[in-house]
Amino acid sequence: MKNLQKDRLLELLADQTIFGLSAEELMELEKSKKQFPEWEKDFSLELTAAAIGLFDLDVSDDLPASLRAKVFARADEFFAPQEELQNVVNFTPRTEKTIGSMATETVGNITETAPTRPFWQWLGWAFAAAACVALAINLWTTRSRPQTEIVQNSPVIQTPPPKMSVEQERSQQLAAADDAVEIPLADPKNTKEVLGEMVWSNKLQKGYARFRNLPANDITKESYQLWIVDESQNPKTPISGGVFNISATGEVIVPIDPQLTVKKPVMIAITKEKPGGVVVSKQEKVVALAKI
Amino acid sequence: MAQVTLKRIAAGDKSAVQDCLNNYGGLVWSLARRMSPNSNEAEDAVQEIFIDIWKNAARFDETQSSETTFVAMIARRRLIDRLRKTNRQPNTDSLEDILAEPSNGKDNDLQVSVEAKEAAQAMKHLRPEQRQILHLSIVQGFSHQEIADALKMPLGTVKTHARRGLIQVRELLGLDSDFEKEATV
Repeated sequence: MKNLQKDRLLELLADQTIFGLSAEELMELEKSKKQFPEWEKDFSLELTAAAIGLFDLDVSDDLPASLRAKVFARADEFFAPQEELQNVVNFTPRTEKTIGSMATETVGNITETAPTRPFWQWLGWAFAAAACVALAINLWTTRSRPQTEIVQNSPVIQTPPPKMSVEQERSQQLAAADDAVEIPLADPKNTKEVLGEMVWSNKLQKGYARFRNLPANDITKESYQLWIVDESQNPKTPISGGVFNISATGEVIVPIDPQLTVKKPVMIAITKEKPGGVVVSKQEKVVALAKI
Repeated sequence: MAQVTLKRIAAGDKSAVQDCLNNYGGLVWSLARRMSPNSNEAEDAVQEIFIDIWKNAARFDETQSSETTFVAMIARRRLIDRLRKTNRQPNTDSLEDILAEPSNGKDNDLQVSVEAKEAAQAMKHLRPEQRQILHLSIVQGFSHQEIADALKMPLGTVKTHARRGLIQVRELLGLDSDFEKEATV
C-alpha cells in the first residue's frame, strides 16, 4: 500500500516536472507529500529534467554586454542589504584601553601625541554606533523577513532558523483543525490557470494562501489585498484578510489574518488595491478567486 | 574552481557574481533563448534567473549534482513559470519540422555538464517513444496536448511515456535517493 502511494507521488512529481499539474493533481500532490515528508525537498526529478534539457545546448554565445550590465545592476541591489549588514557586523567599537593606547603612538624617536577627544565627542561616536546597530536591526526585520510575505527559497543570509517554518505551521494547522479546507486559487479570467491554493480553518480563524504564479507588484503603485466573502456579510463589503506585496520570485506564502470574525466563508478573493490596501474594495482588479 | 562559485554567492560574496556570470552566463542565455518567445522576454528571464540563482545558492548540494546542472534547474524553473504565466510558446521550430528531421545530437563529450553527458547516454536506454516524448517536452518545450496531437497518441499515453522515461533516467543517473533504495530492498 505504502509503495503504491509512493509510486503515485513519484508519478505526480514527474508530471509536475515535465508538463505541470492541474489544480486537483496539485492538491493530491500536497496530500501525498504529507505522507512522505522526505520528498518535500527532493528535486532529483527536476535535476534530471535539467540535465536532459542541456542536450545539444550551444553555450558558445556569451551574455550580451548590455544584459551583463543589467545583471550586475541587479546584483548591486541584491547584495546591498547584506553588505550594509556586514559593515555593521565588522564595526568594532574602540574600548577605553584601545583609545588610550592609540592616543600616543611612538614612531622612531618621534613621539606623536594624537589629540585626545573630550568625553562628549566619544559619546557622539557611541550614539552613532548605536544608530548603526538600530539601522541594521531595522534592515534585517524589514528587508529579509517581511511581515506578509514568506518566501520559500532560502535567503542567502544565514539567519537563525525559526522555531517552526510557515510550512510546518501550516501542516500542523491542517492536522489540528478538523474543519480546515484546502482550495485552489484560480485566475477569474481563466479558471484553469491555478495561481496557488489556500488553507482556511474557521475554528482557528486562521489560514494561509500559497501563490506560485502571482506577478510581483510595484509597491509604489499598488498592493495585493486578500478578502474573505462571508455569508453573513454584504458581498460588497467582504472582510479584509490582509495586505501583502510580492517582490520575490518563486513561491510565496501569505498568512491570512482577518480583522473581523469570519462566520461562514464562501469565497476568497485577491484584489489589487492602492499601496497599503483599502477598507472597502471596489473589486475592480480581482486577480485570484477561490470558492469554498 | 567553478564548483565553488555558488558557495561563495551563498556566503554573500558579491565578487563571485562575476565568476557566476563568466561560468554560467552563456548557459543561462542559451536556455533563455531556447525557452522564450522572443529576445526581449529572454533578456528579462536572464535577469530573473540570476536573482533566483543567488537566492537559491545555499541549496546547492555538490553531492547531488554539478553546479552547471543546478543552475540549469533554476533556469528551467523560471523559464517554465514565465511560459505558463503568459500561456506562450517558446521560440522553436514547429513540431512537424522537428519530427520530420530528428536531432542528430552532439557527441556526448560535447555536452555542457557531467550530468548532461550521462543523461544523453541514459536516454539511449529508453524506449524510442519515451525518448522522443522526453525530447519534445523537455528539450523543445511542447505541451502534452501538442505532442499527443502530433504523434496521434492518447494524452494519457504521452504522460505515461514521459514520466516513466524521466524516472528511468533519474535512476540511471543515480539520483534516486537513499530512502527509496532502502524501501525497494
